[in-house]
Amino acid sequence: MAALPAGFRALEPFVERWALAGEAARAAARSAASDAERLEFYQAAQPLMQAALAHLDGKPIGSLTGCDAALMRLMLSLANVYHSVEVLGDAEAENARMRARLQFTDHAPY
Amino acid sequence: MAVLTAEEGTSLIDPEFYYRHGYPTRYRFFGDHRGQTIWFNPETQPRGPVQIGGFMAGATALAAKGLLDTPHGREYYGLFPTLFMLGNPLQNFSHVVYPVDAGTARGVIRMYWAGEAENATELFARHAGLTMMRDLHAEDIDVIEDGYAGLSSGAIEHIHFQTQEALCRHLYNTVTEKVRALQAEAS
Repeated sequence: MAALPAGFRALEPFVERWALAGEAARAAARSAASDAERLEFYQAAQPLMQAALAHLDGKPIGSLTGCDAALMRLMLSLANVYHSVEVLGDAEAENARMRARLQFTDHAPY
Repeated sequence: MAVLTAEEGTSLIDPEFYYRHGYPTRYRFFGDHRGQTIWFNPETQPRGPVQIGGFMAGATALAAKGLLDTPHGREYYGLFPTLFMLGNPLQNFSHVVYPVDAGTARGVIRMYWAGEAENATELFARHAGLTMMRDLHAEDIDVIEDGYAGLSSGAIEHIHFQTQEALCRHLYNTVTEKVRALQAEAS
């Protein structure tokens, strides 16, 4: 059974690691990943970002389930990982040390 | 309300000095409370396609709700003693600092958006902004702890607050006034 909607199956290898529920879990995954793992996910997910959000925009945001919820969670992980790749670069490890002390209290729906 | 602008406070220093260092461009005082206008670097550009997409989507959603244009977008308000809020609608947050004991404080940062996200793109934009704000605030922790350690060491007996530290000076003076008033009342 497919974990993601048609058109986004290229992201299936990333579902287990990155399609996580809750901002705290996604942020922890970002910090736990290596630079190469973050870059691999970013390079796979970023080109599909606009298409994925357009697909999800056609559905009620408050009640995504199954494949759609998994795709939303992947996009929200991309909304985490991009800052390591696009902005922090070599400063990621140092920032991870500092942000480990700024914990999330989760209220996010996905 | 008292107002001090960078231009007024820099008679001996070129205002460009303040801009180069990112200092606030205006300070205001409302009784016990305080505020400053955050300097904005006009040359700042988003770094990549996700950050650009997040900014654009967030701005579009806010504009549709009539919330993008605000005179408070660069205002940072400090309510006595330790409740802070940035007026920027894209990155609207409050920061409350709670004393834990004489040498320890706990900061709680809350981000705010108007209503629930209406679609996936808006939710994505909010989370992209959340990530950036968390990473930025995390960078302050070392500085704050080093400041606490320095003050607690007793190595410095006096601090000379400069113009750009006017809010610290105002807080210090306000606390001093309130403590003295309480002491006078008790005696």
